[in-house]
Amino acid sequence: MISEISPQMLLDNEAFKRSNEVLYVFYSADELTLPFLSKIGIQKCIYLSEVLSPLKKIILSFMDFIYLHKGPYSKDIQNILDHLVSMNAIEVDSFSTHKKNLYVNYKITEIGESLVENLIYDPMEKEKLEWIRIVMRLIDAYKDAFDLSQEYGGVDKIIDLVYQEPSFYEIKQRNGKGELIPMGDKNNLTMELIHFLEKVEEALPRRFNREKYKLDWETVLLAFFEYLYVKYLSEKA
Amino acid sequence: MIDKNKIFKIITGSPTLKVFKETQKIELVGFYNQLEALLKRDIPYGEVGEKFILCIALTFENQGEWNIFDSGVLASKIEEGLLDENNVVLSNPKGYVIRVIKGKYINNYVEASNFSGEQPRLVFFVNYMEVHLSFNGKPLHYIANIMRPSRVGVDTPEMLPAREYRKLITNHHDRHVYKERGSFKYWRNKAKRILIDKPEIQFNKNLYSYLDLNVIDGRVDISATISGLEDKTDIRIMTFETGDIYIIEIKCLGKTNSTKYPDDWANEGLIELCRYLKDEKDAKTGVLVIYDGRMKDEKINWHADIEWHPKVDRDPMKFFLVSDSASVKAKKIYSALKKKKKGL
Repeated sequence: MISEISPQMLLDNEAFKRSNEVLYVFYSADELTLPFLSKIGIQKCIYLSEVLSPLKKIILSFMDFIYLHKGPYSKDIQNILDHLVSMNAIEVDSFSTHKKNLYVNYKITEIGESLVENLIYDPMEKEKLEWIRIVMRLIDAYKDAFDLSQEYGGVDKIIDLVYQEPSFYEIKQRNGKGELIPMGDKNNLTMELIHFLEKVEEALPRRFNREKYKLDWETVLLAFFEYLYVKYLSEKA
Repeated sequence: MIDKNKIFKIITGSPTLKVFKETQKIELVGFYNQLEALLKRDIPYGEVGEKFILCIALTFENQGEWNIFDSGVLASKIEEGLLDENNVVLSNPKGYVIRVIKGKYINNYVEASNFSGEQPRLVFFVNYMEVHLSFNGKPLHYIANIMRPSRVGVDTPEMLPAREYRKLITNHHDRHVYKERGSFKYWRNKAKRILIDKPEIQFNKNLYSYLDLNVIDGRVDISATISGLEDKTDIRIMTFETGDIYIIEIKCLGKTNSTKYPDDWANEGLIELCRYLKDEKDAKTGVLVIYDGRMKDEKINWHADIEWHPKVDRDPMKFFLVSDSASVKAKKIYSALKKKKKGL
């Protein structure tokens, strides 16, 4: 007998996948000894993990980021945070304020850690965690770079780099509030840049030692972050 | 639209990419970013003085005693004299100092580079505003002045294409040589016009660092080899679009405590440059840059027998080194500004 998968089951399945991915972000943050993630920071971390994921052909589940003035925003994330708190997988750590708004800061619990350690028995889940882990390490490496916003603290400072992210930046330039940010490998400025970086040595004249400038995928990712930072500094100068 | 020149600048010259390519450790990129931010934050407020010389060697041990990046901590350690006799600290990538190495004082970047090779490790040598990075016994990156925009690829008002090399070299002179900014010092005794030992090294490094940040369309190298030869140019620029090569040869005239560098020294520079141009088939042009520390601002007597290579810039650039005190220089700058305003 062929089992039927109802639309509701598909929806539930998708929701669980998203919950897992959010949990991986918290797990990676904990490994990096980051004390907490705010709800602003988590949006940015998930966005970068998602928009860059075609580089490693990883399929993540958040495709519905829209342009808001505070950066890319997915309404699902707040619901998932509430869901994870109700499961005791993450907990409220503290509160912070920004422009009179109160923001909740979350951190992973032991239950959350144990959930992740079980989930990664599945190789696909493990691959997702590895991907998010490396994006988080880059976020950690750049969050304290010189001249990033003084308005924010910790991981939230990465907001200045996310504003320079090509797919977001393009919509920001035309002030397309509420517009869906294109994700995936096609018709997307982010991937256009990534693909250029993947074969950057071929674009240099033969006089250059092309082999020396061939980038592996981790260096492509680092070059991408450096590009965002350099663009930010250039715009600020 | 992708800014290709910016990307080429990053992949060929960014310090963070150099660190990662050598070490494969993202944490060390984080350390670089934090150290740069710390120096840019603390130096302008006088938290650290001009005599500040520090060598940081990276290790992956966990337990640290204090953190370099905690606000004001490094400055207060320097103030307390912790680094007066021993200036080499072992730090982990999070900035926790494992220990200060006893009986070890590193005076210059060559010693720092050698130290990085004793055990393969990343070493930062910080001499006030000057920063040298080395890994495993070889120099990795150099920043002449950390207070300038110090990230390769960042837009600056002084950015120009390589073909405008004369303007670039002149701008460097006006902004950095004339004003002796940051750690860039070339006089041992201004009143007697005695230069420091091996002054060309200072000019070479400082101009390289300036060009690295301000040549918009090419990679800048210091001591790059000529194709197929062992000769090394002082500075070489190679453009991203065409691969054209620009060679810059630097000579410094005047006297140090032990050596005199007369006209002949400039003539030798010209001969060297012409030889490089003959051997480097992709060279577009080459220019001789002379920093003149002699007693008087005199013309160079070029030897009549020198065969000028067709590609050499026939007008070598000569800058007379002014040895006025800072206050006299300031008066001169102000007077020039007033004249400019009056349209004189």
